[in-house]
Amino acid sequence: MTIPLFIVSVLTVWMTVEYFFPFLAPLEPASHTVQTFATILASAAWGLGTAVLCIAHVRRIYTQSKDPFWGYSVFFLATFFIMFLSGLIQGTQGSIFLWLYNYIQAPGDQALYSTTAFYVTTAGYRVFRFRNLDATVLLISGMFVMWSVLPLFTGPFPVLVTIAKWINNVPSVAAYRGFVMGVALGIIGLALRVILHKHREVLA
Amino acid sequence: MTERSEKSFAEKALDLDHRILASIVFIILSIMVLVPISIPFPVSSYGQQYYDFVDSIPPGETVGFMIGDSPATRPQLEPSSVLTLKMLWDKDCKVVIWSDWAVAIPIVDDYIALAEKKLGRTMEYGVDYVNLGYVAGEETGQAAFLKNIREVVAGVDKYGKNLDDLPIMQGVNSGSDFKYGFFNVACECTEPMYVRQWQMPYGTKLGSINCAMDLPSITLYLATGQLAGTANGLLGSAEMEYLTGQLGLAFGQTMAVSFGGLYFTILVVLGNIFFFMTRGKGRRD
Repeated sequence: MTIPLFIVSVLTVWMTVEYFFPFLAPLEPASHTVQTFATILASAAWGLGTAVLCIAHVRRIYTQSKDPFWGYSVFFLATFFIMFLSGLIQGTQGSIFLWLYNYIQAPGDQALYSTTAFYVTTAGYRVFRFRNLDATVLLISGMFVMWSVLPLFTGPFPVLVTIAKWINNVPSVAAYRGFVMGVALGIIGLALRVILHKHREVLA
Repeated sequence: MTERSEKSFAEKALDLDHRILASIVFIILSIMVLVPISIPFPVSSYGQQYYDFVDSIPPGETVGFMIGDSPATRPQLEPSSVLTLKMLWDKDCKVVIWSDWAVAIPIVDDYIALAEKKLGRTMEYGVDYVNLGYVAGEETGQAAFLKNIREVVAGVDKYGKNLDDLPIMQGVNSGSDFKYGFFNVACECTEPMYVRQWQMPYGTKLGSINCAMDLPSITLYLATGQLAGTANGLLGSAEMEYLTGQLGLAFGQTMAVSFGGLYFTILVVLGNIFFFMTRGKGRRD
């Protein structure tokens, strides 16, 4: 573990120094090479992730007696290989690949996303309650922000836009700034732990 | 049976089957899409600011455009993205396109075709626009790409053409070569990533095309001027259609969603009334 942790430490310090001190020009080419490596690794990760996913589904089918939903794995593998082969043979501009994308993947994706409208509506009826002060503030501010993006409300009541804009620009921005600063400090702390080899889990 | 017969009206109303509530949403949205009703349409300051930003880009400028849309978010983001492309090409701007999400690749071609249809002419590849394809690696990938475009895409575009052979890419090799840029983000809240890796290091003026739910992460950067404008979700798309005089799907959907919002408001009010009516009887939600 020592050598990988040493590499991580050196690269973290290198990238940090290069970002905050751009006048250290000699560091720039090496840091850019590292970033380019990251894009290559990310691309490779797609392939690795897909292979691991397929193996998991094959294993599920193989041990079907232990899992009543193994049939979904067959469906997954079948659709995966149809899409994969169509892309591989014809390319991503191929007619079969585009047909599958436009007429199966895209409508399915859109249908799934649109179901949130039904869940949110039901939740509005069952969960949005003036139970206590916190819930009341959340409910009222949420309603104002929602009304501010609906012309049916902003047309007759333009003041809603002013109120929602104040909610967005003052309390929301203040809270979000605090959140961002908190996350940033957390990341700095984590990076320091990694550099000092106090967080060895980073290499799993 | 006895317990059921003792239920008050309010309790029965609170136990209403969610399928009934969902069916009413479906009916309302369907009617509004099929039979649109004309209602006043005030343009928000966000919409006007975004339109003014696109309008302010000088003719002939080379503009960077990251398109990271997905099929799910396309109804929200497509109209404003297509109209932005149209406005840019109306001014003979050159558009360098890439994606930070693999799923967006087929969508890019559709965007270009739709913008050309609205323009009524075909744009010349390599002169008016170029598609550099998918750039993997999230924030690190985008940082590397904006630092040295040719190195990250191996000197070729999505179709394998040498970038040095394309007139649009002459003199373009990093984020600093774009004075103006846009990014289209599919509900990932990755907008700050482009502020960090594009606007801050290179000073590019950026416009964001994002889902409405991402607005809280955008407002911060609009307030500081690090973002020049946002086409905010479906409303942003409808506002672009209205301001450019190209009314289309987003405008109709906004009207439908308005009535969906009215129904949601009524449900929240009724839900609370029934809740307080049953509270005294010891019912807990």
